[in-house]
Amino acid sequence: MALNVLVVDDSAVMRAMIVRTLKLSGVPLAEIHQAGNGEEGLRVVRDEWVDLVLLDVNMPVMNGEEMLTALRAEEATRALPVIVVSTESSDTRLARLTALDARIVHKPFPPETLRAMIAEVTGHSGIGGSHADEHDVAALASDSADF
Amino acid sequence: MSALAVALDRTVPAGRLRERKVGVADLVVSNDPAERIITYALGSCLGVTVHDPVAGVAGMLHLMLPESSIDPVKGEHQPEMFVDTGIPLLFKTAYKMGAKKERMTVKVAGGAHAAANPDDDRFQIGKRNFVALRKIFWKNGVMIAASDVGGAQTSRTMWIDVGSGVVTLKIAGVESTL
Amino acid sequence: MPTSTTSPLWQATAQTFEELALLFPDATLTERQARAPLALTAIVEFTGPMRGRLVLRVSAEVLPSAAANMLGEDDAQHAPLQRDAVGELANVICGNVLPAVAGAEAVFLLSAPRLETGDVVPVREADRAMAQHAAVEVGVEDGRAVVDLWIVEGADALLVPLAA
Ligand SMILES: [Mg+2]
Repeated sequence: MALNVLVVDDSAVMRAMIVRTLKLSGVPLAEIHQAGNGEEGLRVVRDEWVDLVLLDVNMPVMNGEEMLTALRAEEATRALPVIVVSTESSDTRLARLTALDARIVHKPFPPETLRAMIAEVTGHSGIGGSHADEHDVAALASDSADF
Repeated sequence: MSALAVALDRTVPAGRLRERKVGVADLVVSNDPAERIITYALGSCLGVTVHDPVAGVAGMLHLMLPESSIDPVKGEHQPEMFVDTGIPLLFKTAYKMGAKKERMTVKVAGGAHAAANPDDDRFQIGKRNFVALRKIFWKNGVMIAASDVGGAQTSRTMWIDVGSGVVTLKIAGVESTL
Repeated sequence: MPTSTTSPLWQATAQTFEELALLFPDATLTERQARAPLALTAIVEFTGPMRGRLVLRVSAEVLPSAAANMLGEDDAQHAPLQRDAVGELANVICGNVLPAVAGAEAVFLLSAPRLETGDVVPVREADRAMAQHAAVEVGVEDGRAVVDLWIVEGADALLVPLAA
């Protein structure tokens, strides 16, 4: 079943990097939603069906830890899979995030690391080739591709 | 439905494999399952292998330097030397034999520091090579399936068996599957 | 400056440029790199067991390639994206250097990166004496990047905010 994914990060460039990795990850995708902070992210989760959240920590208005805490406080999102993608390196805080049932990918990350985590969390392994499918690759390649 | 479903097992027993050697700044692509493509003594150079199990195509590039802009003439006459000219050539040569990008598995080895202590490696060619490789792969939507990169003065021999697509590394006499 | 801070700052800077911007940072600058004016400043303030700020300044030569590499494009001339990219680089450098300086247990709050056009002086003269300081300069493409880390021990001590 195709997944609806929410990407929450205050950097538009980082969101684009994560979306690109998602498209290359071999996971069947439906909608990809984006939000620039935790508050916007919670609004998306309330209004849309979301199967997976990729969540930054350092963000204005509401940070990722606060958003994750709010998600876990709600019955409907208590078990929603969340991958925290953040520069956060404090053991103390990583333990708090893990206790809230989040998986962690540390920035800076090679795309392969994020892809492996997405595959693990969703149960879709993007094995075989470099990419999901021909269509996505063609779309990504656009006019900047060398080969 | 899966592309892998039509992948054939073309494995040929190791004893019957013919070796095809990849030199420094060199490229070999093959669809002969009886061949083993091999390169010796990767230091700061990178060995990059591709394999498409459906087309039965495998290839290897042994590249030396990150950017052809440092020597455009060489870049034109010996594109295998550089990341930015050699990688497109590797993929395009494999496409000509029927390989498809979305089915290709890409593996990387090499990029060692030239000094025993990484801080003494003034030119950091190994690291520069790998950063340049990551850049061209990211831009072209290629993910690395497996890699063994870096290390101090590590010398790696790398081979890929065309039939099976299995990539093997030999470091200080010890073999392992990548 | 103490090497105990400079070395982690160098590590975090190099790793972030290599892995996030896919650019190789040169420890030794060419004449051309050293001359390149700094065109954009990103400021990340942090609070926790220590307070301070991390300031990343880059020259114009770095902007298009950093943003383009992160996005996987050939070129990125769109100024807002270039600013966003440099802000995220500052955020990632800061997040990675702090545990190396303050210990793995310390929890910090990082502000959203603030971007200023041009070469903004990273600390006020009055704060200079009381703050610990480390700086790293690297050559990137035909330009350079400079990272300054200012730390004041103790959660109550406060750097004077930079004028907006
Ligand atoms: Mg952030």
